[in-house]
Amino acid sequence: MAPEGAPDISVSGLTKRYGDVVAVDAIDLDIARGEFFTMLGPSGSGKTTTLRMIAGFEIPDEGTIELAGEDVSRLPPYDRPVNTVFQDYALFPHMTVQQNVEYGLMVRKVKRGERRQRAGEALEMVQLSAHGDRKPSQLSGGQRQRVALARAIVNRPKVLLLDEPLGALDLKLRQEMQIELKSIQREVGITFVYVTHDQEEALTMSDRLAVFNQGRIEQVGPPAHVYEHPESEFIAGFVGVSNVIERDGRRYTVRPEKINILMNGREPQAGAHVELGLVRDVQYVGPVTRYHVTLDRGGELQVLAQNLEEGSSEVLEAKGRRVSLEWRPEQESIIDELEGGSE
Amino acid sequence: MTSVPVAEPPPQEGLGRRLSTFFFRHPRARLWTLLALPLTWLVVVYFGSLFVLLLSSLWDTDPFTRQVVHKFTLENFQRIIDTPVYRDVAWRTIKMAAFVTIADAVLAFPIAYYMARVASPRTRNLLVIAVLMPLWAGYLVKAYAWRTILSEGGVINWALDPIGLHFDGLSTVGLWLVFTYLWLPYMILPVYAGLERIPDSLLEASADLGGRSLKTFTRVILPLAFPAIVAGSIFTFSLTLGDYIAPGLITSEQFIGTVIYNIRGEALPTAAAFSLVPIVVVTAYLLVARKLRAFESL
Repeated sequence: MAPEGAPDISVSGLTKRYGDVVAVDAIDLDIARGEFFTMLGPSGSGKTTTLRMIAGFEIPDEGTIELAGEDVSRLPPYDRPVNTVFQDYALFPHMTVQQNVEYGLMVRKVKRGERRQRAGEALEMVQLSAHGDRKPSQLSGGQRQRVALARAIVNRPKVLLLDEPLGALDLKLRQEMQIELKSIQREVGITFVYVTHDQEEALTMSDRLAVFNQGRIEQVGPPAHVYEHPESEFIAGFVGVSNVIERDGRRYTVRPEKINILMNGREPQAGAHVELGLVRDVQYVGPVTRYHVTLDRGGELQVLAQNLEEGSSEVLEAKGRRVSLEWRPEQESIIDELEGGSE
Repeated sequence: MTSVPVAEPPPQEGLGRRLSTFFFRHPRARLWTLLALPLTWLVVVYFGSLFVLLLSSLWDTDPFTRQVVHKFTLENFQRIIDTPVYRDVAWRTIKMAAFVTIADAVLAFPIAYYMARVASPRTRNLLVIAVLMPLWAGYLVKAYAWRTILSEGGVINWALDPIGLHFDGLSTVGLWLVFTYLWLPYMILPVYAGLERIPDSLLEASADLGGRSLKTFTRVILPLAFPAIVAGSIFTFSLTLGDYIAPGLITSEQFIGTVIYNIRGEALPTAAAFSLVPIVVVTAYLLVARKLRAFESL
């Protein structure tokens, strides 16, 4: 899928090596203006190094980075129209919240009055107007995160880079911040480039996401597309649960919630793909139940079923039973054509 | 088959076990047992000697026999304040301590910065050893070595002689050099530790927000390293204030230490009173440092 509008960030052939290790391996990437773009991948996949090269903390060995058509590949961080929200927030401990937010304006010699006003607006946006006089050490993790965000946004960068900004927060706060970040992004209209290893974060927030693996991008696209049509076994496993089986010389994957589990001899629908198997294990997870089914024709699939009416005791009784699984053929995503198959 | 674990029989009540049970149940007793020895040392030897010092500064001297008379008086302090010589010596010593501290801070900062933020781990370890090495050598050896270096026939004047210059090394300036050399490691190490504690991400954040190297240095690095510089300066300042050997070896000028050393025989109470001057000065210095919020981020 091509991004709409002119690309704000254009990366081509970007490579970074550390000794013999290739951290980023000749990646190409176009990010549109105003887009919420996520770089998703496990640790060591090259996503953070890519972000740091866009920010200017690392200089690429090969390739170029263009910001709004201007080649910035070799400019120092202070000459690039981007700002970063750091994973550890990197707030200046000797300054107040207000001074932290004003820092970028201060070093760019914005006048005192304007500085105050803009910092005040930024703090208001992150709902911390009342905390301007505090030191970062007097704030909670979530508040520090907001200060870091305000400190970056106040400079009105072309692009905001976020390096796992929610990684240090607990689950509930993280989910709140996901919603808030997204609404702030819509409000300010700045391009966000967001690095995370959390697939849920990537799926819920992004306009598009790129999945990184071993220094390369394996797939780029809107979240629903990447989730439902993974192009490789790695993506099938990393974004969601790997549910790969091999049939008729093809390897393909089906998402667990797309599979219908039929018990008590219920008949499958016409045209559905049907597999018979034995329930090896059942996990009751509250709203849903996860079944691990060993298939008669080889392989194993996970099935996710909503607990619409069943209670925990009923679903747990399914262990050891014979069941049939059904799904519609269009839910299958082919990963590999094995020998005998053609392109 | 899995075997059901059987509860073990209660262990024998030996003396060691009873003792450890006692300490387990009485954490306060454990704490006091642990601290007894160091506390005794601190109270008796450390505070005791300070107390005796304070006490003897309040005693009187018999004007004829020069014997110490155990009679309380504030005359010793009065004498120190009123006598110009004592005032001059105190002022000269404080100035010396200040200049030594400034020189050490200026010399130590780049070295510490290089060690903490530039050097490879291997070079860093070598430099830490190099900084510590002078502390392994005896103080007297180093002081005498400097006396030789600075003297008329020393290496400095030997080098200056062909170009027609002469440096009076055995002077106040010479002493300043010696003190600066002697206490430099005490400044480098805390500043190094302080600089090493600054996370890289803070410097990246400063650059990211538009701060060039100089801005990052003055607005981020220096303020964050300031407490460490103050910590180092407490060493260099108080060590200079209290020293009496180097001044005696290098110059004929009098400093607090040398005066105390010289008058201790005939006027012990006055010497004791004079020795409180460095304590008062350092205390005042610490209060100012605290006022400057130097300890806030420690």
